[in-house]
Amino acid sequence: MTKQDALHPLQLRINGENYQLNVPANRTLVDVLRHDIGLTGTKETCSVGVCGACTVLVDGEMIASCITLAVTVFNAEITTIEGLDKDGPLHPVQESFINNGGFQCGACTSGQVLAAKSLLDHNPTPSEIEIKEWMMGNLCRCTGYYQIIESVVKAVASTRHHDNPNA
Amino acid sequence: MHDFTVHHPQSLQETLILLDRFGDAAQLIAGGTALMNFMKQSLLLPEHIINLQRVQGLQHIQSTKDEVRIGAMVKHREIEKSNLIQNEVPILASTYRRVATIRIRNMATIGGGLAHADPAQDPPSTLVALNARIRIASISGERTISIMDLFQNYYENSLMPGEMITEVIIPSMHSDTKSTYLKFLPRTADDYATVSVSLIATLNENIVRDVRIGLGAVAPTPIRATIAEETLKGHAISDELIQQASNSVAQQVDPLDDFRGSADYKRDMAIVFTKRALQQVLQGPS
Amino acid sequence: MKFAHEVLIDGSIDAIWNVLDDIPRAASCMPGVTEVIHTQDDEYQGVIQVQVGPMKFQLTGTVDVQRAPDTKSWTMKARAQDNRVNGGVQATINAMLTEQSSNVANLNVTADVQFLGRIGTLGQPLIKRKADQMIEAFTKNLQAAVELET
Repeated sequence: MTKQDALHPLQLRINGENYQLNVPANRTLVDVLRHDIGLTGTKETCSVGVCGACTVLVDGEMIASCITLAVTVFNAEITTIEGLDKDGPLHPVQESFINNGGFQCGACTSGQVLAAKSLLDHNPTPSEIEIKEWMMGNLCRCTGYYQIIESVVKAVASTRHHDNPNA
Repeated sequence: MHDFTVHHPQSLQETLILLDRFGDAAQLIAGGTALMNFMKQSLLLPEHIINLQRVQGLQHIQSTKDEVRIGAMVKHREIEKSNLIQNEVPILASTYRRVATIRIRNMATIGGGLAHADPAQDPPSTLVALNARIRIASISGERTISIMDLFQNYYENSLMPGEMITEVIIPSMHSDTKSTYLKFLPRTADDYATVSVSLIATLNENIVRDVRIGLGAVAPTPIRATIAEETLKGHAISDELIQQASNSVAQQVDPLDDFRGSADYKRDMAIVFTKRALQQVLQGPS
Repeated sequence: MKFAHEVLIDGSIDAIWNVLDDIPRAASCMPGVTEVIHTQDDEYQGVIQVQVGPMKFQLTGTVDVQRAPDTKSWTMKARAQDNRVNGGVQATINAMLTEQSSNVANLNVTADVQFLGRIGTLGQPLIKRKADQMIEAFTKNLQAAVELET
């Protein structure tokens, strides 16, 4: 509990690292990530939870960080776009977005990539329809979506190949 | 956003004490998907926010012989994915699956959504057709009301100051009951319904034994299409009967003109979608 | 946003006009009006609270009333503000009574209302519905006030 105008203590675990912060109680999660921590890979676009650009994963599940009050996040592992290549190479979904023209201006890309990663974590072999249903909530104003779907389809193929080199 | 103080109660009792203490100056936050947008627009300026995320005892999905009980903090996505709900109340799982996007469903809760009392949401019409009951707690005790008595007007629920929703109770569906949820979405897949129909029916051969029809997005609250229900009950299914029942919903709806369609258009679509739901459930393959 | 309402009120036209012409009394028939004070000449000050779900707007402002007792009508120009949510309304409201029979009069209310700032973000259809509900309650309360009068 905090007093008004006072800072609220906040412990977050992000991409495997612990952060101890004191933030205003009215900070959204996206603002804490970008301004207080400096993880600017997460983008805020519509600010009302509709477009999917600010997607981060909380315990592996997508949420809209622009309409999440940071101090309500508790005892959870947050994954942002910076967490995907933390151990070195890009995530297969990132590789696939690069190789298949899955982005142009980039505003929606972090959200798209995290959504696709979350899909593959839940379902490693989604059909194209399942991909479209899952990615429906991530808006893109540049690509017309075909390259995004293709990027995810090819990421699925590459991870399957990766899992089973003989396939 | 404006300044406020956030409280993190661990128990229901602690929550109710805070709610009683701060009264009108406090807002509960569950998933936050509605409250955050209201606060960002400065339409709501609570001094105190009571965070329900850490409160024990609001996260259950349980079933007994007669009913399914869902804790107020259960997320939309959990309802949609629950094997128990898919088996015992399939229309509820399929209705929650139609709400907004997965991201929102990972956040929004059943209790928060109902307290928001937006008649264009998906769950209310289905919960109305299911005859759900709402369990409400305050520092002075508990009460359980019919869901029809929860909704008062656009965004207006019947909770008294100091009260909160703790549980949603849904009578079990008989195994021979058929149901469907139809959502008319002329714009985008994640939109609110232009018109929605929740239909639950039990047949005896060709006779409609019982039928309940909930309509969403067509009035200040979700409504039951009672005239259509009475028209159908006890009668043999025929195209004429279905048409007559469907036509009757025009008398009961009271839609708004908005960017999802004019009031007249929505009235017509309420007829069309009621008819489609009836055809699917009453005349479709069993 | 334009509103037009026509309703029949039971009572003699004079009795109804007596209530309608007493601005603080007529205003008290509007749900949410908590205070109306005559400040000078044709000017009044008032407060109205409008609630849409959890959202409460407290509008404080002034009303300028032009009476026309001959035609049993008035025109109000109102301007009110909610400083907390940074929103407000500007409205021109016309009311006119015409005799229908010795015991029934027709009340015609037209209004042209502009919603300013945050209140506008609620969406025009919802605001219109809320206003319709308020006018409906107003005419009911007016009817009750007229019955007290006679």
